[in-house]
Amino acid sequence: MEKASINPFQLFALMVLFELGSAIVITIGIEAEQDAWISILLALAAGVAVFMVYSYLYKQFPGHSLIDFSQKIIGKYPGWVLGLLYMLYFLYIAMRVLRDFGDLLLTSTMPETPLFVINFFMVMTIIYVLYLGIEVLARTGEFFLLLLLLLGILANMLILFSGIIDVNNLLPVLGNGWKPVFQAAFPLVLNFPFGEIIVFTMLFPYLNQGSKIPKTGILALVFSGLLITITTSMNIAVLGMEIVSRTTFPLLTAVGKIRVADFLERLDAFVVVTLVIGMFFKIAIFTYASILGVTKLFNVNTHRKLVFPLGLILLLGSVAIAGNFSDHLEEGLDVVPYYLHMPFQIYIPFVLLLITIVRKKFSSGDIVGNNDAQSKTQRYQ
Amino acid sequence: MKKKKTRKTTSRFSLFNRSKNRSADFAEEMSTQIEQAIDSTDGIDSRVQKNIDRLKDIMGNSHDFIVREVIIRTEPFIQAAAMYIDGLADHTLISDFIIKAILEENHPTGDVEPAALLTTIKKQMLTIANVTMEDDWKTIVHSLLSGNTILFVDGIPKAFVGETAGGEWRSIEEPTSEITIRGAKDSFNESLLTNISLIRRRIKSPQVRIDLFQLGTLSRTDTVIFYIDGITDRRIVQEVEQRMKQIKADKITGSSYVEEWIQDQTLTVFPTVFNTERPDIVVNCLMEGRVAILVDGSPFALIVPTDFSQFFKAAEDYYQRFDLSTLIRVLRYFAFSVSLLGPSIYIALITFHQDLIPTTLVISLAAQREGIPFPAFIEALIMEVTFEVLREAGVRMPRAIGQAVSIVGALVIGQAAVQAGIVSAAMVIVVAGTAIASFTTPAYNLAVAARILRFAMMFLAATMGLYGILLGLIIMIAHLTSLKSFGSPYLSPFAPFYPKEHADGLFRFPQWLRRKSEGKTFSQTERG
Amino acid sequence: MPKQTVAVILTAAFLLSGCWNANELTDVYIISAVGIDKTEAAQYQLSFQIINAGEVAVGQEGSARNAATTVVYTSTGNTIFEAIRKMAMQLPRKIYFPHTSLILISEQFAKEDGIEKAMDWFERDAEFRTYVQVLIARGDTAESILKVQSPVERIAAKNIADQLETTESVWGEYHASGIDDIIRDLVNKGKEVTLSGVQLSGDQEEGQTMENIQDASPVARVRLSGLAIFKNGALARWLDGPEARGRNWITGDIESTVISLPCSHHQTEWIAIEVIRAKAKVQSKLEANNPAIDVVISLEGNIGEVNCPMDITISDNIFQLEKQLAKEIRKEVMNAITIAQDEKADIFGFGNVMQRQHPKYWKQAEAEWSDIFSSIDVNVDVRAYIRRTGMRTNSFFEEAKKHKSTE
Repeated sequence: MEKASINPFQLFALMVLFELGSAIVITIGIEAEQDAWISILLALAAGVAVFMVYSYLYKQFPGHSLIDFSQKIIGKYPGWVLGLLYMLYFLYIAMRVLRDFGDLLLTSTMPETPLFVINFFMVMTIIYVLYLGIEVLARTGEFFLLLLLLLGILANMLILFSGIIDVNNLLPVLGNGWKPVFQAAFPLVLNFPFGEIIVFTMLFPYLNQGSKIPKTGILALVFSGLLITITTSMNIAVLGMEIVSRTTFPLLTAVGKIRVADFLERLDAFVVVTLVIGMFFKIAIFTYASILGVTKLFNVNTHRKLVFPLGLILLLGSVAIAGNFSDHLEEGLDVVPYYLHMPFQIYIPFVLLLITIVRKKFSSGDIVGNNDAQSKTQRYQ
Repeated sequence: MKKKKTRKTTSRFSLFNRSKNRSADFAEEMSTQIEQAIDSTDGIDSRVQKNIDRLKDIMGNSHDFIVREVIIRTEPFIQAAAMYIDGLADHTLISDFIIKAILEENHPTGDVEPAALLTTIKKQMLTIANVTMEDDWKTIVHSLLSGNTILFVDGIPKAFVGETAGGEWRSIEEPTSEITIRGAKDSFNESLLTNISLIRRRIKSPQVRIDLFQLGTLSRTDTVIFYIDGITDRRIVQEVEQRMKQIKADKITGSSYVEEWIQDQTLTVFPTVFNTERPDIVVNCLMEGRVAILVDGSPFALIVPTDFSQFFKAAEDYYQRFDLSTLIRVLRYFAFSVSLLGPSIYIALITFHQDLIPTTLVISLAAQREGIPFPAFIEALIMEVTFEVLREAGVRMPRAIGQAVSIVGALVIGQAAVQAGIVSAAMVIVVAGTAIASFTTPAYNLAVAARILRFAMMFLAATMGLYGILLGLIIMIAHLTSLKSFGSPYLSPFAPFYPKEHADGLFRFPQWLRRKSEGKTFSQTERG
Repeated sequence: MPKQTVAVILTAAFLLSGCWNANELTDVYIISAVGIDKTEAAQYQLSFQIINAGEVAVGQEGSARNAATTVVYTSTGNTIFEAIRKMAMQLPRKIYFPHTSLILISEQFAKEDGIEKAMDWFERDAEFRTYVQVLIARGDTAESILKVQSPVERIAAKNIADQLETTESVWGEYHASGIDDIIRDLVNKGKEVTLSGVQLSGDQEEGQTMENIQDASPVARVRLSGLAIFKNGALARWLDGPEARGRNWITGDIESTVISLPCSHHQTEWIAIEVIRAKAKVQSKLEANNPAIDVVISLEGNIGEVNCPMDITISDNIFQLEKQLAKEIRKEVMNAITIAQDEKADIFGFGNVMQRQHPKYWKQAEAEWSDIFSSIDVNVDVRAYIRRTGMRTNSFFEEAKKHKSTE
């Protein structure tokens, strides 16, 4: 465990960047067609509920990350195995996001560069920043969040002023009824991006004001959820369902349509900046959580030792994970949500919650107090 | 081999670099030799002539070591000798208040006890302001070298040290590197005492604390740290003191020597210690709870802790209206980004992302580049290096020749290169714009950081285009956030984001809106 | 570890990474327009209009050779992509598309193959902006139109694209369609594609030479001509003049236009009304599964020219003019609707309105919408308002008439 602390605003920044990371550039909820925004809002509500579960669990074991409290809840060895599974899951998702990123950047701006090279430089950057530690990552996040918000506001204004929004593209509302809206929201949008917030259970212990976790987290989720909703709706309003549903990178296409006053055009750079920065933080946070977990599970004395090897695995994995982009997308839609996201984001935390509540009801003393002294020594080993 | 071993054991991120220790070893060796030489002579003798010989011996018969022998009285014979270093001591003071005083005063007659003689000389005869008695050769030598006058009197095994330090100093002049239109017009000079007085005059408070260090085993440079008791965080003062004590150099010939010893990290292009030649800026910084370090012989004061935004605050900001100052400050940040990223963005656009350039412009650029023999990156490199060479030439040349350099430079870069088709006109515009932008950064050492990183960014842009620049930026920001200046996060108030501190950060609010200076301490910043 | 190792790996990676995507500007030809024709062997024939940058950019000393500003090359292939790559055999550099402003499809291709076959590559490729305009080369090959040198505007493709944009904003008969507009309309059953046409007038051979741009009156010119109606992607019919404007009133593609109204019954004296704002509101109705469409067009205009003695200070006269204007526009619109219904091509997007407002009905009607459209009831209501009369009130005609009568 690294000795560091981050403040609530930094956690907020990391969460928002993490949520926006890929969701803002990739289409989500598009199975609901024009009603994607309703799907996203529904999934957001559910995501907030799921987050409450995570923060409740943390509240029962303050100062303990996901691995620690799972060991506390289901016992040392089962908890250790569960922790390891979670670390693998985080690393795998990091690989998938890295792959997404590489493919998007390739198709949009540099088609002739090998995927490996793109990913290599991203991983090198991530290794450097993670080597410096969570504090640096958090502060960098703070800085870039402000930058991204500025860019986003500017881009939105320009889209408005260039008059390419056609609200008719968002109509009819609920033309196909509620069914497709629910189907799009659950599990797809709930899992990606909102459920992925589970990775922050690894970072909670770093927050210098632990009591602010629920508030910060919910604020970050709602803020980023609204931004995603606005962006998705904007994409559909600008391009129309017919195009958005078949586009790999709708934000780029939409922003590419901006033409204001004959000289403010070709602003794709805005989107590339958003893509690179958002994806950087998303991959970095997943990787960091994974590194942190492995550091604890195997009692490594500093996380720095693991940054390089895990980064290398991340890089190789991201390239080897799928043969082509369609393969990758298929996995992402058909396999990952049902066999990975659902259990790790929803089922297991709920089971943990259930056990905790039951134990709390039936045990005489509070389980937290008993283990506190022991846990503290563990933390700073 | 040995070097490698130390490398393995010490972390790169430790406060002090091991290379510093290596040069210190040498210095220590030197100084102990000298000290032994001084110590080997016994205590102060009661015979003047012997003392003179010893001091002459220690000083190696230096030409500027002056011995003035006087006879206090003939019966019994009492001789005295005043010794000083020519040029360091003030002649008027010596002749009027030491020599004259001894010769003209009514001397006690008859046999006198040495102790009585001492009191008489000290209390009745010497008219100079500050006299101390010393019996330690080391101190005596040091005061002699500081410009004081040493007086030996027969029968007294002690030395009178009269404070006669004087000699020629540059007078207080207008600042040369931090010019203001409305601000104060004085700047530090090379005299530590003068510099201290310039600051003292501006804060008439007994809370001002000045601690003296003598640095450099050979040079014995007086160095003081300045802070205001009650405002400055004690931990910062302790940290500064501790780091000052760890300096093991043989010479300190300027504040930059001290800076290199005490800065948090050497492996960075960003300055983590602020310097200024303006007393008013030092006063502002002291009021904000910072520590100032003044080194004798250097007209620049060091300020710690500092942060990135401080390098964008020009003295003029506080003397002009707040609205103008705020706008100019934002402009400076913009210009800094331009000077950092200008050429690299141009390279990225022109070699990777021609689709992001408006059509009319791209056609014009294509037409210009028709027939240019180099790829854009090489072209930019040639131009940037040429510019750096010109700038260096202009700085190093005497002023009269410097103009010739700029004329040649303007003609070669501006006209001939374009007309000959070696570089494109657009590239000249980009390089020139970048150069002008880099001049807007008030702090020279930060502008240098941008100059160095510019080349790295150009390289990244040439390899990976916009993507490369972005990754470079992420790394740069991460590096900046990892830096600390005496425990204070370097990139604050941006990251960690302290909105309130932007009252005098990114913006400058009117004085009455800014927080009271007492309120700003560094206690809230995380340390570790 | 191996900080040194990392450094070595990084440096090597940078040096080896080379620059896959680096394209020096001197290695590419910037394409301003692409033309699509069909060869006799039913292959694609692609024409590329290359910008001769040295000739276009002004202020470059010594580089201008008085050569053509745009040069056209052609190539054939079974797919568009194939034809593009085959260009390498004729050109020393890669061709570069991000600055393409125009895609020109020949009428023959549009009729026989349909524009669908021309669109996929343009949409898929990252180099194209979605707002690239698509036009139909009416009665001629796309190649021959691209070859015409344009006199004042140096880039021929920009000349055409700007003509279209200017026409759209001051005359309103034609409208610009980007790639994305076309894709949307092709996918949607509720709206058919319409594309503006360009036509070559004058001597084509002479148009290719430099003389064309040196003459005071260019021999060959490219002018906008007609609006092509597509049915299921294939060109069905041309709308000309007011017919085309009739369509645009409904779709709201008119920014401004001028309509001349006769002063009296004999059509020799005219008043010109400048329409400055036009808005169409399309509503669908569904009564007992019988769809109907209500169109309300409201517009504002100014009097721009009066060539007859009419007292326009009298509000009653203005009121009459408003009625006349509304009638005239309604006539245009109804005419366009009749033609479209004859062709069974819903060029107004009534289907889309139906989909938005009656999604349930639309699901069952979608398949046979073109048949339903051909017999649908459309009520058009035009509300015209004349707001101002320019810098003068009455025309001097009116004053002259008064003086004459008093003499």
